[in-house]
Amino acid sequence: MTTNIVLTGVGRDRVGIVAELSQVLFEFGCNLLDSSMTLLRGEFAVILMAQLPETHTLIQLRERLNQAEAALGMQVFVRELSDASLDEDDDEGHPYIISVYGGDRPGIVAGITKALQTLSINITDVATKRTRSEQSIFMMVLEVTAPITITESELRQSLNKVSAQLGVDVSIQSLEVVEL
Amino acid sequence: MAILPVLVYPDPELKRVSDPVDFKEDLTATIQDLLDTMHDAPGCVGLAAPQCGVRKRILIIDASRNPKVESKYGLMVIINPIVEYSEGEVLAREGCLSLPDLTANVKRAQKIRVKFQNPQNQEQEIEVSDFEARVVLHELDHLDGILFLDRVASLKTDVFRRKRYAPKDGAGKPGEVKPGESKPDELKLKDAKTPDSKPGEAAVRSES
Repeated sequence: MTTNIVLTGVGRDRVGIVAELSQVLFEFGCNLLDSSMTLLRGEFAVILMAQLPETHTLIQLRERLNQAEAALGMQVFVRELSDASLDEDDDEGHPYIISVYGGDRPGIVAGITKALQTLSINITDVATKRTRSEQSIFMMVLEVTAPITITESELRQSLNKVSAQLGVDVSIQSLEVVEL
Repeated sequence: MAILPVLVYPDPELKRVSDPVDFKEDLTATIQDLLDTMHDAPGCVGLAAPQCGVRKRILIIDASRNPKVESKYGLMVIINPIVEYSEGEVLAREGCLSLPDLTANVKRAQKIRVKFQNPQNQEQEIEVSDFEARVVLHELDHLDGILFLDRVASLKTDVFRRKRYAPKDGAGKPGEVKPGESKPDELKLKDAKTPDSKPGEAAVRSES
């Protein structure tokens, strides 16, 4: 029985982090599954799922990663995953891409995502960016799945209302799904 | 008449460039097989010959099989297609018989003009838009060994595991997919790497 694990880590960015981290895991006998790794300003962040070989325990992997942490310049956290948490939910819904942008102020993410939550819309991906100019602009792009019971105009209405309150602009792209 | 097995990636045949049709040989049986194969796959609106291991520049398109969209031309057999003109850009999520477990957000031109030959070797020109244009462009890519994964910019936001289309192993539908049908040999694998430089072309093309 292989064990499934999820690893998260954040560290100061430099060339070679992914190469070195994946080499450690490869030598340990891990098989990588899904991962997301990205640079946020000067910090490099890693979330990855992997299968641990039968021959090793989670405790051994933790020890191995602890030894590697200093060289990686990254703090790494690992935990075991149940088989169920590796399954993806059936998202029988309609996908949209939502862009939100405006002058920076606290509460944009909270306000917009609260409106989405109220409509039972699930966020599948989100990224934000704040510019460092004197007049900072805040920008957020969300990929969401809406239940089929929610119409596009309901979504628009709801987001237009919040965006007016927050003083930000919102645009919604409905994603057609094409089976070829 | 026969229903051909649809090749599934990582079959290296899907990454090869297909040969132009020279009309010296009779294509009737090949075209009929491709038509039968498309009609056997529920909801399938387009099929490229190389998806069935036939390395010829032939497409079968029938956007009218999708009841939710408008189709200008219905069933078409398109041979040696060339995109003469394209404009606009539309984002939509595509699925493909040859990648049964994945869907991805792909940008395609909104409107295109395509020159091709019909099975009678007559020159044709069509102008298609929106869904129908997407189908033609997606299938045309197969003729150059390009899969929708070559057109994706971000794995994080652009590629999704398909949820409600194919069974997880991708081999469950009879007549649709038969992985391992053609065994990859070394030569094929080597050749399969040549069309890899294509994604760059996508950006150029969509800007024009």
